[in-house]
Amino acid sequence: MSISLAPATLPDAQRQHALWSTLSMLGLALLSAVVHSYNMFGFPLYLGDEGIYMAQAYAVARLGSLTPYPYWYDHAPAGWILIAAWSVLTGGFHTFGTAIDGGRTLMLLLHVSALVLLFRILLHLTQSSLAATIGGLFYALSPLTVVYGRMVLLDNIMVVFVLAGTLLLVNYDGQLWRLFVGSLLFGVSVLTKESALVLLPVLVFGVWTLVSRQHSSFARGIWLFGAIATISLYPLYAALRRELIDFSLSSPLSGTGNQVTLVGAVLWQISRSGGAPWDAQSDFFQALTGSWLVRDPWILGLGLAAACWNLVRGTTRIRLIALLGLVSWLSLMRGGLVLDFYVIGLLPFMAMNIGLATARVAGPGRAPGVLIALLAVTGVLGFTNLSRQSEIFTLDMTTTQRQALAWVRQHVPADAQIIIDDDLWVDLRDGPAGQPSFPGAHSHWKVANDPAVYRDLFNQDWRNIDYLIMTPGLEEIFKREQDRLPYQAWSHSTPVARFNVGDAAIEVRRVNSAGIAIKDTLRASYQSFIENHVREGRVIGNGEYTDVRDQAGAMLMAVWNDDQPTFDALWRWAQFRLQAEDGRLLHTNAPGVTPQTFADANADAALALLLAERRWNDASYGREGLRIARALWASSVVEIDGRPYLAAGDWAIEDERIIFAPASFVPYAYRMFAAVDPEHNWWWLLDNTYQLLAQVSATDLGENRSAGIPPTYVALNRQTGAIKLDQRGLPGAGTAFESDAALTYWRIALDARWHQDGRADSYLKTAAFLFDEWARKGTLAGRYAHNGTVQREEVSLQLYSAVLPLFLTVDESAGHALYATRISTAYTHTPSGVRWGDGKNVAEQRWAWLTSAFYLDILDNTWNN
Amino acid sequence: MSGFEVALVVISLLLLAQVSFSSYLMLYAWNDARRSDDFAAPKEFVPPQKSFTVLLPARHEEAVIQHTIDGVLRANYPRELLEIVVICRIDDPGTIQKVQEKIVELVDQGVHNVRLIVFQDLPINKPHGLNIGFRNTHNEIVTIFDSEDEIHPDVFNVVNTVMVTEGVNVVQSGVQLMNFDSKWFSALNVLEYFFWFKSRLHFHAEVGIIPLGGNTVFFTREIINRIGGWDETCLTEDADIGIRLSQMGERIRVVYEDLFVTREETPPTVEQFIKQRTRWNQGFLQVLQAGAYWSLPKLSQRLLAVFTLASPVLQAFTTFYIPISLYTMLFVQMPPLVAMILWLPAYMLIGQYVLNWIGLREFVRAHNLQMPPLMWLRLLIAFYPFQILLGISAIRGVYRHLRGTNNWEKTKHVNAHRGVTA
Repeated sequence: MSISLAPATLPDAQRQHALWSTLSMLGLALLSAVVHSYNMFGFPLYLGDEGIYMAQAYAVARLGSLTPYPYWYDHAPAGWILIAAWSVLTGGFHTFGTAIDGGRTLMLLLHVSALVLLFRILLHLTQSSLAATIGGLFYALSPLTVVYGRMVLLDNIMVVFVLAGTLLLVNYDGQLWRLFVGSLLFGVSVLTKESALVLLPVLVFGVWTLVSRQHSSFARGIWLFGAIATISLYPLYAALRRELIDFSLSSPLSGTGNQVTLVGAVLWQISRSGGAPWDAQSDFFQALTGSWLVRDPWILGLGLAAACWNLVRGTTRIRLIALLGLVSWLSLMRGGLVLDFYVIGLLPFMAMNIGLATARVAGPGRAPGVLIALLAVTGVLGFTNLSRQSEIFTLDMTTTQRQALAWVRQHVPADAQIIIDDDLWVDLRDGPAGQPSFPGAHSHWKVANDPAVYRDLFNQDWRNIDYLIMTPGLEEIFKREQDRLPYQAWSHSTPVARFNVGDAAIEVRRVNSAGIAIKDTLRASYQSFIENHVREGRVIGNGEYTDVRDQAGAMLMAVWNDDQPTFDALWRWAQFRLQAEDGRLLHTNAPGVTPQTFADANADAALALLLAERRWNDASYGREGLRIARALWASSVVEIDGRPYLAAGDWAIEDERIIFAPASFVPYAYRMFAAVDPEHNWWWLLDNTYQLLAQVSATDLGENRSAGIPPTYVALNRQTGAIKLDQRGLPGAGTAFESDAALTYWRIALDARWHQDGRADSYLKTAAFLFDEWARKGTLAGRYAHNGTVQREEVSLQLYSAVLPLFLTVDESAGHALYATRISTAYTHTPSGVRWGDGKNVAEQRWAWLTSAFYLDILDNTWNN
Repeated sequence: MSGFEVALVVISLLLLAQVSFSSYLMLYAWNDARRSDDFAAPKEFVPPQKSFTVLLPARHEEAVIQHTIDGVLRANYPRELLEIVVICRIDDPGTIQKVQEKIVELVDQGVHNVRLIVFQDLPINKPHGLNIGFRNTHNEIVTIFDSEDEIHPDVFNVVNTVMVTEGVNVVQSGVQLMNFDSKWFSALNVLEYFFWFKSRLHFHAEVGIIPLGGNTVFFTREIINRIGGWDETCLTEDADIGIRLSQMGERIRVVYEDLFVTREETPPTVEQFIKQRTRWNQGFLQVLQAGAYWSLPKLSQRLLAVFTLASPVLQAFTTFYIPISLYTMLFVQMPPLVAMILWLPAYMLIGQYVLNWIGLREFVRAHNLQMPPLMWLRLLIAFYPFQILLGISAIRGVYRHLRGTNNWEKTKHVNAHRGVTA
């Protein structure tokens, strides 16, 4: 009987019945919507499968294909085509939060729809709104339906189509169209998830027994045609793609061919065994005892009992529902693969059988009080059950996934090749407005198994992978196949960020290799550096005026980036605003300050100009470089007994002493100066300074001992060149080791890389103290006294950047870990571009860039090439 | 998508719509089990009240005409309320002689209600004969039978009851080809009648626009006077008169009861089949071109009229389209979605086959016939070639209509159906 009949023609009793049933249905729908939706974005944890279906829906909506990776008929596509349509209609994949949140919103609608359909079926079969409400309550309040119903799974979509098809069969009243539409809906349910096919015999039984004699042959024919034709669209699709069945000898079953076929995939699905159901180790037994009965023994136990009873004692229509329930049980118990959420297909039938049984225990005409009492018991049972599992409504499991997502969006370059679980696929691949997209994010399944990914994309080399986002359980999966790329990448990686709620942790790891992403890192951070810190050729520093070291460093970055316009602008500005008559570059453009020179900045600028000459084939750069190099010698080199000594600048040459700054020693530049400037003995300066460097690092400099690290400044005797005993009165950090002194390592390591100078290597090996610190503490302090005492804990990005080449040269794996945890994590996307650290310190920006370039090994020595 | 692909997709979707609607019409009588009584004949008859004139236009029917007259005379209806008039042209002495022989024989037996009318003017066609017969008779209800018709003895009681109890002026009772097993195409031809009279005509009656059949159709004399008789220039005067009656808003009652159908035979040869179908197609196109349906009161009536009358054009078009579509489906690589849409009409063809097979079982059961072995396979094998026959007839019809060739290609009758009577 249908509620939509004209109310005026109904007797009062019937009208009341219709009113009551409509109210009950609305109440149930509202209740289930509340129970389902409360905390549905927070619990349960995003499952990989949810991500897979969102990714496939994304492929349908945005990529014009059924799946983002080659489709291999693992499931029929109707379910995610529906999700795609939903996403398009609701304004994309980010409307509700993450992509899975959007999918879960659709699941809410489907869940309520399923409940309404279930209620209508029960109402039709029992004519009792109370019995229908009892069945509906069992469904709405079962923790199983709430937990699994929230997840974006094909089973949840399939259930709605099956129920709709069933409703049109049980409320058949002689009209063919109901049967036909019902058969199409059932067909769609199979196209959503093939497991619905097990219900086909039961529904056929229903069609055979329920239809009117007047048109039974046509009714049966039409139902079968509708169902089979709809289902056959799937093999038709495969056949059209020449992927129905593979007659060549290399079938996927033999494990030799790569050809995917529908038949092969179906056979594979069927062959996934889960063990005999009575075996305690079988999938079925594990899911039943470990999860289903724990969450809700009532709906399963009562439902099964009710189904048996209904089968024995029911009318044909009731037997139909009983059979649907029992066949669903049997299909789970057949010994195939059983996953936790497979219970979804069982639940509506269990709830319906309970509703039908209660109607017959205490149906109309018996005692109405019994039904009301049963209704109350059902409600109490449901709420008790749910309140024992309050995590469903209170625990926010997905925060970790959201945090990991936010972190990756902030710190990982967009070109990064990332191995991910499927849960965040869409969110990473296609970021919402204003957020980066990561076209290199790949499902770990594909990285492990899809030759188009592991072979064609990654060339079977884990070094081509930059990051991994590890969700719980992924490690175990990787370990199962140690010869595959995911495991190899994982085992060569360093954790860089970790987010956890309870024992569920998400870890972002960086692969210990320069990889692919770093090119993007360099490109984007150079771009942002030029945009944010260079105005009309001038580097805007921390203060109002420009520091020559920033200007010279920017020139080096420009020449290594092959960015001639910027280089020219930088050099033109430096030439006009910083260069003295004699060719020296002065330390600042600030007016009213006594002009000084810094030896390191002059060397860097001269080097940049000499490199520019070769790179852009323009000798005028070289002439300017030579001029600066000569001015450097003239201003900062002191000859004592014919031996050249390097001062930190013209200001560092005093009457009594010379102040030497190890970090201003730029050996690779001196080698070039020697070639272009035969008038000065740069070789001798190189030899002498290497010697001096080793000395000042090893000497205690007035401390109780030396930690073997270079001081920021050291005073030499002006007359003898010897290290002075009295190191008092030095500027700045004095003999302490901090970010400026650390640059010594950067420069020596570059000299080692470019020229394989044995002195460079042996000097780097004396830095054992820092490795020891790193190994023991996992961190380096911001400032050490010359004897190794920590003077300031606060870590410094420039210091880490400066020592990275040292680490890479002496202990490569420590270098990778240092880069991963200290430098790559400082890389940050902001609306105004990319920055390192807080983005305020220009020197930090420069050195983080230069050290990343060193890491990638793109600091090419155009001079020698 | 290329323009070619777009065109194929659009055509496929239109075909899908067309075949779906046709299937709906085929199933109309079964669509709702609760309504089956609406379409049935009365279960009990009221006493004979109306008087009937049976017009039997005959040309070169010497082989069967005497049998036909006997058939009408066997009716369970009072002789005094029944008048049988055979109409012949003067250039058909064979038939005239047979009829005269029969009349003499009947007069000897005391039967006086059979007459022969001979005319000699032009044109030589059925509507002309009908008009002459109509002008020379007087009974209240006029009906037409063809020479090869096997009439159920109670058909006059059925019509008398319907007209008396429902007060309708026009009744179309079922006509059914019977010899489904005699030629490869017979079963499908039989099924066309089965679905047309048993099912589709009810839909037409509901909408109020009926292309009437050529026989077993009953009019009150008054209504024929009002619309001025049959159109002598029309090849399908039956369809034409149906449209004109609908235009007047006349309710037409369709009665189909397996028991009471007028039994006919399928054309004996493919050639005859094509000629008959060509004539019908051409006639439909004539009626379509005449445009009378355009002044039908309701849009639904106009649309259904166009859909029905234009079906030869659609059929002709489909015949051209199918080879193109088959070739494309099998040999041209298309995007999967396009390819799947191209397959939809093929699905509908399979659906049509299923409906036909079920229809044949129903037909065989209703008439207590024997289903020959492997009939489902024979039907399947014949199914597509039969579509081609329809296609050829449609193309011929369209072609002849465009050329203005309007001569009457008459169907031969050999009494094949009279052997299959159970």
